[in-house]
Amino acid sequence: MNFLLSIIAILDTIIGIALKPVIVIASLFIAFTLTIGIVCRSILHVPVFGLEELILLSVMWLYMLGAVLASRERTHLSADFFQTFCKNQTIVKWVHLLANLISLAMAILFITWAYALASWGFEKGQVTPVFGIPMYFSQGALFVASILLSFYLVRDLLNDIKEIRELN
Amino acid sequence: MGALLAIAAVIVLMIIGVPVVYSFAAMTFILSIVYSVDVSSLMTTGFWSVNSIILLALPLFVMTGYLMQAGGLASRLVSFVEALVGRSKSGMGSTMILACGVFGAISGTASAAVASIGTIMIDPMEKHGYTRHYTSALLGISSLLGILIPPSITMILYAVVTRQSVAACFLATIGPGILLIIVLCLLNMYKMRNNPIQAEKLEFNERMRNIGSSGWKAIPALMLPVIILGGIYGGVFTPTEAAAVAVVYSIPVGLFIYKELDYKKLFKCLIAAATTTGVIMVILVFSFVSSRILTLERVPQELTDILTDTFQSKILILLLVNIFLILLGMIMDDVSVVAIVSPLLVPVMEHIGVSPVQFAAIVGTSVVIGCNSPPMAPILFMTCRVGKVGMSKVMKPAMFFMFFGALPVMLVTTYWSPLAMFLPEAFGFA
Amino acid sequence: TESYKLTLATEAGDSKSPQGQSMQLWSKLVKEKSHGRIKINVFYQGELGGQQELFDQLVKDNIDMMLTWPQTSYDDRIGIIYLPYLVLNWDDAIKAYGHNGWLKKIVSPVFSDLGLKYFGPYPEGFGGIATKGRYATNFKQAQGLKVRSQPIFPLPQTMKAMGFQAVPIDWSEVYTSIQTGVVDGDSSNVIYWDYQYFRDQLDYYVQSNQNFSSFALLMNQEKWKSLDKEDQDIISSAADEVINLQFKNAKKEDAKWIKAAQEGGMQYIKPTPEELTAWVKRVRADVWPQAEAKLGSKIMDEVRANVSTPN
Ligand code: NA
Ligand code: NA
Repeated sequence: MNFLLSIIAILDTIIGIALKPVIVIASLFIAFTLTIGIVCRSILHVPVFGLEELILLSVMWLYMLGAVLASRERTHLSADFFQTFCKNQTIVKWVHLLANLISLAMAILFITWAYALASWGFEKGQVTPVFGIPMYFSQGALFVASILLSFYLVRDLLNDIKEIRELN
Repeated sequence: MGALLAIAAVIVLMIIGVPVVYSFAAMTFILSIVYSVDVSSLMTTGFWSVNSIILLALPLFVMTGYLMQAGGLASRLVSFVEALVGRSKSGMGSTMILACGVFGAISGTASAAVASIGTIMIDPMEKHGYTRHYTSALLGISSLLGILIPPSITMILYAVVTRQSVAACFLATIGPGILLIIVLCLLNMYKMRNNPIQAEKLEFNERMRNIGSSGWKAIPALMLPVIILGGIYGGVFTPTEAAAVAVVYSIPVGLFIYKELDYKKLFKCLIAAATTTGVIMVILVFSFVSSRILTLERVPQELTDILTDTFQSKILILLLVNIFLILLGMIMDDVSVVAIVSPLLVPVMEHIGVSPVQFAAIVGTSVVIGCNSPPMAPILFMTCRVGKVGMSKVMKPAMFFMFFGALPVMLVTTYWSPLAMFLPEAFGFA
Repeated sequence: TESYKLTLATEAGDSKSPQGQSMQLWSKLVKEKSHGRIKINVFYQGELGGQQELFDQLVKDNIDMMLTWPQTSYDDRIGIIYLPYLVLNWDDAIKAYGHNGWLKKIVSPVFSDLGLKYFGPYPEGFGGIATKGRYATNFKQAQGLKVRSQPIFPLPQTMKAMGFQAVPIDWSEVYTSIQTGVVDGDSSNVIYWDYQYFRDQLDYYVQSNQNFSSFALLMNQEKWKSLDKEDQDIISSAADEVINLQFKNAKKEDAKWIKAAQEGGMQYIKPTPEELTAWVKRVRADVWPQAEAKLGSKIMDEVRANVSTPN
């Protein structure tokens, strides 16, 4: 168990190092490209077609990688009122484990759904209207996110099991 | 029936601590079984729904909020507002309320106001005779001006989910927001009428100098609402473009004018903003798929028929909707409420002659209560942390402000349509 | 035989619009012909998502049938139905789009490759340019006028060739964009849309005729093939009735809305024949070679063999 957790910790560090610069660059790219679009249209009077395709492609990755970071930091929206109201720590831990199991099951379903979406885009060769960017470039963001979300749920699950063991 | 089962499942899952995103995924999964549809082919709905230029305003306004928070804008605003109204018995309270209102015109969320204005004001207010739990409760409600005064993340979400105009929904909550400011100031004046501590009186000239100098320093911050709202309603750009301009403007203001932002902080802000946004977006993916299944199965129409057949009175239906919104707000966060409720109830509203734009304001005002009512009270939890006080002590003043402040505003918004509709109509949106 | 239900949707038009009415008719005819066995649930604009999503749903068979402006995202060749000044008047249009028309013969196999059964076109009439403040009937006047265009090839290219600036804006943002001056107006739609949705914003409608605006009646091909011959006949004969009726009605309907718009205070302007010819020549010279690259010369050769030239 500890061995597994330490492997996960290493992977987690790598993911953190890889994701953050991508997110920062994507954020700045989106804000500045949109602004450049306005300047071109209103001041220079040369509207640029297709900018929104590049922006939407980046923002899809921004959304999904942002969600991965939230999993990494365990900051996904959740209500912890069961933990607040139940004073029995053993029950709390077991319920927490159950919640994590359900989450993991859902995340794995998400992998299959996201895979179906991306592979469809790949098969049909759908592209954006102006630059002809394949749609699976952005649909793939959901697939990548679903895998990383599941990865972090596995980490949380292992931590839960470890804590329950330590309780006994 | 299937729809009820799915919503019940979401609530149970949330209660045992399953994160909202996976609770919504479970809802999608249950609906797909109940109505035997193939989710993997419906994922395209989730994809296209978040792959939207209009929704892009959301991450950008979230970024602006973080940048301005880190960029030292809040303290300039607070000093300016304090110079304007901070000299009476209840002046510090009014300052907090108004500062939240002005901050709301810059930020799209409530949490940004809690973090920045709370940190600045709670200690000084204690020195001026305000208890920490009172201040925290007041902050909890006032911070929600962040979603009533545009820009507003919640309203962008509502507009995208219900396919209304973002610009119209922004306008709809201004009236209720201003009413909430007035009501809160009056309640605060009443509560603090016997406050023995009062700031020393200043000479007129000195007061004017004070206002002038703090106002001057606040100008770069106050330009932001001018750019955002002036830009949108003055015909320069769309809400999404306004959000992008706001980000591009905030960075140099924080870096070079207020000099409180540096590249490290900028990096952190963008990461934090992306995390906040990512949390909302994955929830949206599933909530869009769920609501698409419900629409394909004609559930909203059925709900409309059942409600309007059972209760013939418009007032009664609105009352039920109010109660439903408050109950749901107790157990759910604002994102979930908007995602679940609006697609189901907008057809009902249209049927009884309530404009979806007015309903945006009704939902907005219900969120003010929801974010502060336990068990799921994200904003109240946050103010307790910032104010370093316990939940149990904050509850009483929080209930006071909700019952006499937020609730009446919600009711007026619901039953007196001009409050929400005056501005959208004046700008030609209705 | 068995009874079942199908889903029919459009991205444009509420239940009272001509599109909405026609979908109801299609659904009603199928119900009657099948004696209630086949039920069609109709969804109007916005109910099941935006244009691109809906088209995906159709190709994936989450939605069975659509009345739609087809997307070019799967196959560039679909762009042929948006080719500017392809037909110049109603007679031309009927020859091209009508029953056994030359264009229909080119388009059907393209749709089939995409996995869609094409029943035929749903003509609306000739598209124009609706603007606020000022208008243009020629290339020179059009300079500096910003009009909204869908980012579907070759619609923006056409606007540019005519002298306008094309700005890509989602339909749901058009009203705000005109109101706030982001654009001066809308392009490529028949007057119905501009009058019905933006009447308090727009002052002029110029009947520039650059595109013959037509939706398509489509069905998912796998779904189509899964039906027996009897049901296929029911659905396609009902579609034919809808199409034939629309060919009869479209011109009248368009005229009705032109009149309504004029009475509502919108100025309806027809360019002179010389102005129109100048636009046709300019656009064909400019946009058609671009189209050749996207659609292939085989298709463009057929087009050139069939089109009429302005006199
Ligand atoms: Na705000
Ligand atoms: Na709550």
